[in-house]
Amino acid sequence: MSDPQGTWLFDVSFMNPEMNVQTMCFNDMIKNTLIPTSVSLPSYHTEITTKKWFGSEKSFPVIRTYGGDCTMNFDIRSEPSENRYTYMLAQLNAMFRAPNTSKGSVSRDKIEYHPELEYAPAVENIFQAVGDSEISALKFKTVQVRLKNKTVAAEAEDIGSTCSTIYEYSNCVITDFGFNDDLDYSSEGKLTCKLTFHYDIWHIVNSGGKV
Amino acid sequence: MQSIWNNDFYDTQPALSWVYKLNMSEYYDAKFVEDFKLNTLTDAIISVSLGKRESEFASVFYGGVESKVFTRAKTADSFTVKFNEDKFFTVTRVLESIYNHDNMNQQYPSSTGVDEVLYNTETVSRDSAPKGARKIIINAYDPNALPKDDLNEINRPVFRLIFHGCRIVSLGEIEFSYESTESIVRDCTFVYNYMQIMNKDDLVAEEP
Repeated sequence: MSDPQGTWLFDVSFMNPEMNVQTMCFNDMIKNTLIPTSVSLPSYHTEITTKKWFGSEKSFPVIRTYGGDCTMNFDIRSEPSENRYTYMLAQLNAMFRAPNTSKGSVSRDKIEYHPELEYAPAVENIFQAVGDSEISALKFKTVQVRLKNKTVAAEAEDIGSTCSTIYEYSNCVITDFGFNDDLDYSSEGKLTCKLTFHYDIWHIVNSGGKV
Repeated sequence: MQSIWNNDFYDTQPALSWVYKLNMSEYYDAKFVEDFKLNTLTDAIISVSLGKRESEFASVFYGGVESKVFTRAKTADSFTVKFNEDKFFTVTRVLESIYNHDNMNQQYPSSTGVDEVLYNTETVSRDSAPKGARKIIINAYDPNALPKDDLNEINRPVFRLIFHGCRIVSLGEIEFSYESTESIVRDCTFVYNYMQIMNKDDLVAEEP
C-alpha cells in the first residue's frame, strides 16, 4: 500500500486540446513561470427531494451538479519580465482602459472595450490572438490539477509514472482576481495573488491506468 | 407498521420537472419546420407551464343551500413558454416568423415603397404560406432510464402532452437595460384548441 497523498505534491496545467503554436507556447510559458502555491480541489452536489407519508420520509436524488469555483493562489516574481505570462493569465494586459479626455488627439489612449467577451465559441482556440499577440479571453477550455506521487522529482515530464490523479475542470471562466497582501514596510512577507475561476463540470482523467 | 418504506407508490422515482423536451416537428409540415428552424425552439426552451384542466359550474340556490351544476368543460386554453435568447436573437427571429405567417401577412416597406403594407388578416394568397397540424408536443422521460450508450432511447417518452391547433397569441417584451447583468429571455404564449394526454401504456401501444 502506498503512503497517504501529500497536499503539496501537485502542479497545474492550462490545457487546450486544439492548441495552436501560440497558445501552446503561452501554456508552456505559464507552466514554467507561474508559482502556484495552493489550488482548491473540485466537488459535486446532489440535489434531493424528500417525500413524506404517514409520519415517515424518504429522499430521492433530483439532479447532480458539478459546477463550482476553483481558487488558485500564486506568488509574484520580483523580476517584472518574468511575470509577463502570469499577468497574461490574469488578463492584466487586457483591461478596460480609461479614455484620455483630450478628444481628437492622435495620442488618445486605445480603449479596449470588454476584453472579457472576446472569445468565439466556434473557434476552438479559446486563447485568441489579438493585436500584438496578446492573449485576450477570460475563458479557457480546461484546467488540469495533477496530484503527483513521490517520483515527481526524477521524472517530472512522465505523466504516467508521476501523476496519481488528474482533475480536469472544464469551461473555466475567470471570475475574480486580486492581490492577497498589502504592501507594508513592516512586513517580511511575499506578495501573492489569487485567481478564481468558475467551472461547469469536472472529471478525473485516467492517468496511465492508475485511475 | 405504516411507513413510506412499505408504501409501494414510493418504490418509484418521483417525476422530475427537468426531464422533458419540447417537440415542434408537427407544428408545420416537415419542409417548413426546417425552413423556419423550429428545432431551435427545442434547443432554447427553459420552462413551460401547461396541462391545466378546468371546468365551469353554475351555482343553484334553494332553501339556503348551494349546489354546483356542471355547465361545460373548457377545451381551449393557453400556455407560456420561456426561451433563452442568443446573441444573434435567433429565437426572436424564429418566433417572429411564425407570428408573421400565422397571424399577419407582414411585408416591410421596401426602398421603392411598393411593399408598404401590413395585412392584419389572412387576405393575401396563402399558397406559399406554411401549413401543418400546428401541434406542439411535450415529452417527459423516465429519469431512471436516460440513455447511457443508446442515444435513441431518449425517443421513448413515458408521458406526452399534445396541444392541437396552436397559434401564438403574444410574444413578451424584450428588456434592454444598462443596469442589468441578466441575459435576455423571451416569453411566448400559445393558444390551443384542445389538449391530448398520452401515458406510458398509450405510447407503448403506439410503437410499431
